[in-house]
Amino acid sequence: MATDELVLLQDVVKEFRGVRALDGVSTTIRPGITGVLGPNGAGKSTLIKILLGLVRMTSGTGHVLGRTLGVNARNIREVVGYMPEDDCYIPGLTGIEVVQFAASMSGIPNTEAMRRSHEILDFCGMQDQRYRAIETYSTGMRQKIKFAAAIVHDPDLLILDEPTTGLDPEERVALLNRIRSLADRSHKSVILSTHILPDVQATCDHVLIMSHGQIRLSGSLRELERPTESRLNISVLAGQDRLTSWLQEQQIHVTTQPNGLLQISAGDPDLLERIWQAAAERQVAIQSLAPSRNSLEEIFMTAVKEAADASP
Amino acid sequence: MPVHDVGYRAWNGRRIASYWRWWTISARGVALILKSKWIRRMLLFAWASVIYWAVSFFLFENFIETVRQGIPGQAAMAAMNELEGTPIGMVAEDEVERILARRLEQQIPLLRSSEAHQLAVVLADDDRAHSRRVFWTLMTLTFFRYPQAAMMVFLIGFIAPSLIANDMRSRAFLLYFSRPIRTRDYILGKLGILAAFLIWTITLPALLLYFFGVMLSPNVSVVAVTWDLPLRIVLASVVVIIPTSLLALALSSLTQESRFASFAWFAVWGMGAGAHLAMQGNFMTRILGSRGMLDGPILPSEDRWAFLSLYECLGGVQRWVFGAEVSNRTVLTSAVVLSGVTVLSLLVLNRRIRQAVQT
Repeated sequence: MATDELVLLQDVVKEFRGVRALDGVSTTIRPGITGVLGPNGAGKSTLIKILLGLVRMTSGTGHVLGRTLGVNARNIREVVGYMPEDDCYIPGLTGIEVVQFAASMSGIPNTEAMRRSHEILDFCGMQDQRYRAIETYSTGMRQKIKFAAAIVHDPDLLILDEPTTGLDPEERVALLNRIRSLADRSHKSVILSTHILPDVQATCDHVLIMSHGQIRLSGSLRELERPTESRLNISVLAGQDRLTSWLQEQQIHVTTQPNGLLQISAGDPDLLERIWQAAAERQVAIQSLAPSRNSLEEIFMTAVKEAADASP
Repeated sequence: MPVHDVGYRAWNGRRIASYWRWWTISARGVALILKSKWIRRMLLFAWASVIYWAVSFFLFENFIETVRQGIPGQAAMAAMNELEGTPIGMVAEDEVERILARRLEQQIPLLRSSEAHQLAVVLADDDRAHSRRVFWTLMTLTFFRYPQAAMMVFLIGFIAPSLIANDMRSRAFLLYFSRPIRTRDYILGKLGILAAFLIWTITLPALLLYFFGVMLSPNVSVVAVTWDLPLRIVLASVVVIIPTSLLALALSSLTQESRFASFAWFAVWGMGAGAHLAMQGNFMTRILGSRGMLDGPILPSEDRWAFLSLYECLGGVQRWVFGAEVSNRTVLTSAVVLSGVTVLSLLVLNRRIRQAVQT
């Protein structure tokens, strides 16, 4: 296993009473922030539980941070932090006690666990609320506590399951910044499982799209967003109708995007010059004319649709 | 670096050994439960009976001091002014025993007729060491069987049902199992919580009772006769703690509603005791008879229906642990039932926890 491979999975299958939750998953996750995307039932949670060693694979092999899956799950959880999607807490404990408890269970001695918990809660922006019973917390505060509990033992790999659920926009941005900062400054690797595509776009270096228990697409976000065919986006300040009708006269397929941009196929190498000339002749004010990029939403929808079409 | 840097900092400290992680679960659990005012009161109340029992030790030790050593049977009675004027050798042995038993009953309220008679027989033979042994064993056994057993049932009934049921309801399982914690660490951690409270409720008061007994005895030689009682107390505590705690945890793991687990816990004790009494055939006598319950032995040496009741099974094995009279059959049956409860509870716990983690 190469040293730059955080996670390596080969033909991983997981069946629950005859139902395949994971169907031959093979992938490599590299350092950085990896977004795991997929509709409900895609197998994301099962994949995470397999990575944590909570669920045994039916077949296949895998390694997490050089440790073999299915051999000693406890070894893996020593170096992995997990923030579950579920609102899990122990009633009666205060916020600081939850984080300290998590630290102690990870092997940090008691006094040190308390010091470290305060340090992490400071990092998470949790003020005096840390001394309140956790059942009195808002969803946002609970998310912060879960996040703090996941990183308190200084894991090398952080697995976050829907971390921004229930957060207001300000808190969401703050959490994503924290995640980004952990990756950039502290060189932590993160696996971010989420439904929220803008979160992935804002933070992730790599994306892994799952559907029907299989990985449909994986790669760096930059690569995936690169245009697969030559297309141009045109933003028009004035005279959009005139430009549209000229493009149609030239038998160029043109579509209007939801954000008002015109999108055209750019097969002809002279097209750019002709557009500028036509715009000048017809007094069309073009604000920008740039190659189009695939949006993550398009990539996601295409991958999921292909999976749905392919499944019996 | 600024004085108050709120940025993320790495941690490179040394971790504690993994086989001690269960202790963290136990310690946190105990601290959490001790936040309850009612539990703290119950724990204090659990020690109250020590004083009452310690007084019995004091009374008994004073009683046998009045029976002068080296003057057996009737002479002893004479010394106690029970048979004043009666020539020595003119009173039947069983009469001496009867009088001694009556005096014991009068002086030590905790002693039942059957036990008083048993002691009187030994005392009449002037075997003071043996009589001490019998009395201390009986008293420690009754201490285990009555006040502390009742406290144990109530305390575990309040604490245990929520231990796993709440974790299931609040999905706290993931908080535990996303850490380097195994199923066995989790079970051991939860078991440790109950064990801590049971040690506080049963073992420590019994050891304190022994200590008080020794301190209140006019004659320190009692230690030579009863030195092994503390060890037997610890062993008898283990007999109680393991099956009962595991059973309570298994019941807690079967539901997300702690009140159902609580109901099941009390039902196990109530129904078991009811079935046992009914099958013994003297249900009405023991329940309704004004003297029936008071006159019967603490435990019959032969109890073929012990397996119906967890309480009686515990009694059977504890009686054996303390070296009291009990038939091998009763001990064996009770041990099998307790072992069965332990194994079954472990299987249920293991299965339920694994299921909960995987879903």
